[in-house]
Amino acid sequence: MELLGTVVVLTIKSLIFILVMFLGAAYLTLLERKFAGHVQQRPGPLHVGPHGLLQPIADALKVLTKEDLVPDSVDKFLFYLASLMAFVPAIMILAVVPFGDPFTVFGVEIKPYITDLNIGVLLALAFGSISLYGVIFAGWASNSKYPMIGSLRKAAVLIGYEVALGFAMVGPIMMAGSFSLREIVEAQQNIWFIIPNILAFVVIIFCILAETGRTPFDVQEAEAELVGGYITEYTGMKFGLFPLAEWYIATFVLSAITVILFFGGWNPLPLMGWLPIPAIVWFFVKVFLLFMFFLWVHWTLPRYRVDQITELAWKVMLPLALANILVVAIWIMIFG
Amino acid sequence: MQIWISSEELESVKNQFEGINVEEGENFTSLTVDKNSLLNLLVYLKNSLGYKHFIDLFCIDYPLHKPRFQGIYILFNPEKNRRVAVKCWAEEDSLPSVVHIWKGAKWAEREAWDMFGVSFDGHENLVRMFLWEGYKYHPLRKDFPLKGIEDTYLPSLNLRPDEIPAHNYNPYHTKVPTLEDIERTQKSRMEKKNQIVLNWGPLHPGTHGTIWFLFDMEGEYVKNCDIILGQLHRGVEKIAENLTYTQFIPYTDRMDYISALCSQVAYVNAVEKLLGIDPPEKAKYIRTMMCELQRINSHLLWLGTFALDLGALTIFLYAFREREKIMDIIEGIAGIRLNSSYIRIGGVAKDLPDGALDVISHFIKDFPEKLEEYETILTKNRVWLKRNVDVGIIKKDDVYSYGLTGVVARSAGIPYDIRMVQPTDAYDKVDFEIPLGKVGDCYDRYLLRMEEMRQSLSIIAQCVEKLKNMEGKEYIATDYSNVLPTLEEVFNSIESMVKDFTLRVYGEKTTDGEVYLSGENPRGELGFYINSKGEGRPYRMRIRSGAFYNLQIFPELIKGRTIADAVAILGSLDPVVGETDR
Amino acid sequence: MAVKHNNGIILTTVEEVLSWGRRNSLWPASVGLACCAIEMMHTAASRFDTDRLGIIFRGSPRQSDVLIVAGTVVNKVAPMLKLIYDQMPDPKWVISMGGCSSAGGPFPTYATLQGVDRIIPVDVYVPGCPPTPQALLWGIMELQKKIKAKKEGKVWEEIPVKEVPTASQPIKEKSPLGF
Repeated sequence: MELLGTVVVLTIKSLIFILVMFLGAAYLTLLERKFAGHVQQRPGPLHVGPHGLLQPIADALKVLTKEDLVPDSVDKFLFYLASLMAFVPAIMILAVVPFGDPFTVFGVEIKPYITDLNIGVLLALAFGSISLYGVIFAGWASNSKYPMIGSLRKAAVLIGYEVALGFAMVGPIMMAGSFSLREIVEAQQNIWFIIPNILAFVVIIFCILAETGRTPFDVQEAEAELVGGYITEYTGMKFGLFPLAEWYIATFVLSAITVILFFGGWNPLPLMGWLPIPAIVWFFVKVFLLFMFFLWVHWTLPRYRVDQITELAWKVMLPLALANILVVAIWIMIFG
Repeated sequence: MQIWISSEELESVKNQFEGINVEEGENFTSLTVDKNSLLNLLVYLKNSLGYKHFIDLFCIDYPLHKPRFQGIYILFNPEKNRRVAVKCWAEEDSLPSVVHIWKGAKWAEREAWDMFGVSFDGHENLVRMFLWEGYKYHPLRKDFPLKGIEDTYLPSLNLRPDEIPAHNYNPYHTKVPTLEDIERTQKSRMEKKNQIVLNWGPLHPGTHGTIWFLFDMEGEYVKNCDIILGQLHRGVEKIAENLTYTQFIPYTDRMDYISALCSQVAYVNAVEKLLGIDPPEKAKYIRTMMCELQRINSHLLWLGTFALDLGALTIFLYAFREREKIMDIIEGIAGIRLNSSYIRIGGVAKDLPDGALDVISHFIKDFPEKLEEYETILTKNRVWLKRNVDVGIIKKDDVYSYGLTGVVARSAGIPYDIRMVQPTDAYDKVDFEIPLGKVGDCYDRYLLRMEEMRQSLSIIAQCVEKLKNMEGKEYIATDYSNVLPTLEEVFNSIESMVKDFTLRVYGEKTTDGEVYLSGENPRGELGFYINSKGEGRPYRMRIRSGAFYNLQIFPELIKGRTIADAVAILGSLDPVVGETDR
Repeated sequence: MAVKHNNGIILTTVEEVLSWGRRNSLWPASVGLACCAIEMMHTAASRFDTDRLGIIFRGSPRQSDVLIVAGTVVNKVAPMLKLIYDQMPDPKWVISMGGCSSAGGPFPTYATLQGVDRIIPVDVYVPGCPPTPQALLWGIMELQKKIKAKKEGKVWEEIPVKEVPTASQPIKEKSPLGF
């Protein structure tokens, strides 16, 4: 009976997470377009619904009802699988990301996370790496030159940055002494891990930009060179999943993990703990600010060449991440 | 000002070679030589007399003459600022190829083959330049009709059965190639030697129009490259032979649609030289001012698309914000935003409207700040430097050999600017500098164009100062017999009406003559060669396109580099397809 | 219960909603051919900003809904343009921008296609050489009206041409301005 209860609760929770994430991701597209509009001195979506608020709904309706065109020359199985492989792992990372402390409403304890695994960080990294297969499958299955070059570029970038990302996460883990994301947050009640881990934070910013394919690292769908990169041949819903997964859900989830690792998760800002703001709001404010930072970078910088990106990854980011581990080790030796 | 070859040099050529026929003139000086000694003469001109800058090569068709086709080579001496033209009759419809002397002749020879069917002995791969393989005709021959051969049934898909089409609607159309024809064209250009051949274009977001690139690639590295042009070949040179001189002005806009006013000025200047017309002072200043406004406009578009290609979308929108302002100014003066057709033979179409100079002075005051803004985002940006520095280096020899002009030539350190070499309009009365590059890479070309915008601003400021004192003065020299009268004159005097009528119907009659004159377009030297036989229309008009020759060096620059550099190099060469294809 | 003419309330509403989604999310393929492409870029840029109407340019035809034929279509590029059109998924629309693509424009020559409607069906013709950004926006809005009318099962009526005074047929009534 208890097991059944757990299953039901988990199912409901997952459904809520996924639905909110879908809707949230849809509205993140609007946020991005509005933000880009303000950067570029134009209004952005304005006429669809009040102040353009219904724009994501219109886009979703259109994309969903578009003809699902599968070219003759593609490898059909991989072609379908790729879009799922890109999307599902991005959603699955959510399973281990906590959004706040457990709280009680009407006597029922609600945990704003699905599971609290003691290897949460590792799982998040692993799921992040799986989405790489989606990219490679998409490029290969499309049987076309632009997607293939795009996916190879993306693969090269991802391999470079996964390593640095992994090492950058070591610092906070060492300080918290745990792989569980919730425990890492709890370890930051006094001081945020950004303090000794500043190098790792820099590395992680670069890694997230590279992982989510934003400028200056958006080589995989550099429009001027490769039209649409590995999604060139995709149509309708299958196409919609890629940018949704990569640009919005992955960026959001990785921002959340960064906030957890470096900015004290749902802990309030220093000296502002007395404010009557729930933990979950603090958390989302931080994630939102970080997300906007990524948008800001995206709409400002030009892009690197792919060989320059991998060079940066292996020659700068990886040593920086390793140096960070050394710094943290010394910090722990001194301050305990 | 003497721009054509001097008498001493002509004497020395005459002493060296026998049977050379010299036609000297103020606007065109040519040496006619027979086919056997053509190559020797060209080599002598290049090596001994210093005419090493290749400008143009084209043909003329004389159906009644035997041999039928004449090839004309135009060369330039960068030390002495002198031009020379060499003519040679193509006996047995063929000429010797000069690609081994000037690499820039490669495409020009292809074009001559495509348009006239003149073959070039020794050319490595003489294929169609603009039309496709399997096209049966050579359209610039005099016996080919302008409309083409309408032999394919191709009715409108939008006409309903009960609908009656317009009176001149012909359901038969000239032949449209099939995809197989296009594929054959592609195969004839380049063989696959490495891993994959990447087709880039013709309809591709990064190619600045409809250029078609073929990259033979090994991984990300380009081993071999070729370019297929002609996806915007509209037959402008053929149209020119069928229209009067005034009627052709709108077509110059639509060639290089980004710098319409500069093209108009270059063309009208050539026609004025031919007809012996001197426009009034005010018109000269207006033309110079409008040209420089258009140059800023064009460079802004280049900046926007260049940055867009390298991933910085926001610069694109900022640049377009400024473009809108300039286009509003142009619209206020000329009446049309983009393809303005403002310049007329003998002057300009309209006087400056009230307040135009105020708006322009305000723009001059406002613009440097915006320019700073672009430079803040790009010039010292690490990513920008990484993508541009030491990419696509052009050497001095390449400039002469490929016939590069404009910013592309100046980035290599060669001060070739038509505004200095042969100043037209008011360019000899204004003060400006020509920035030069040191390395010849994409970054130099970027810096040069930014600096050119500043120089243009200073020219505009000087013109505005002058024009402020010229209010109410004559803006078109209607006294000349070949200048169209203004609307006011037509409505008020019967003589002007008759003159207007005659000019519009019969065209600007002149004596036989040839003229080659060029203007400094933002994309390079835009030259017009006009051959007149005394009719109201040109017998042959050749348009020397700067972008056409500048683009030719692209395959050389991209070899051994990655595909990502292709956008940087292409963007910095800044071709416009309307001009390359004509 | 049989639904006659497919105009049951539920179906109509669904159709209506879908049509609303489609006409408010028209993504054009970024295909620029000639001069008109510059004005198309201006339409997309800050001042006119097609993003207001939910219009963003896509590089790949597979993800586009509307093909804006911006510029002269010459014979050599015609088969490729048709290929792009064929690659677009249904439902798809075509806007012919400018005189050249509508009817050959000022280029009645051997090399130019005399009207893009000879190879692909056109929904909206935008006049001009080149059309101003305002004109292109008008064309897009006409297309939106057309999509709306079609989904409601109505016949799309062309806009009646206004009477224009000419030398042979001067307009009868005087306009308020007195000419």
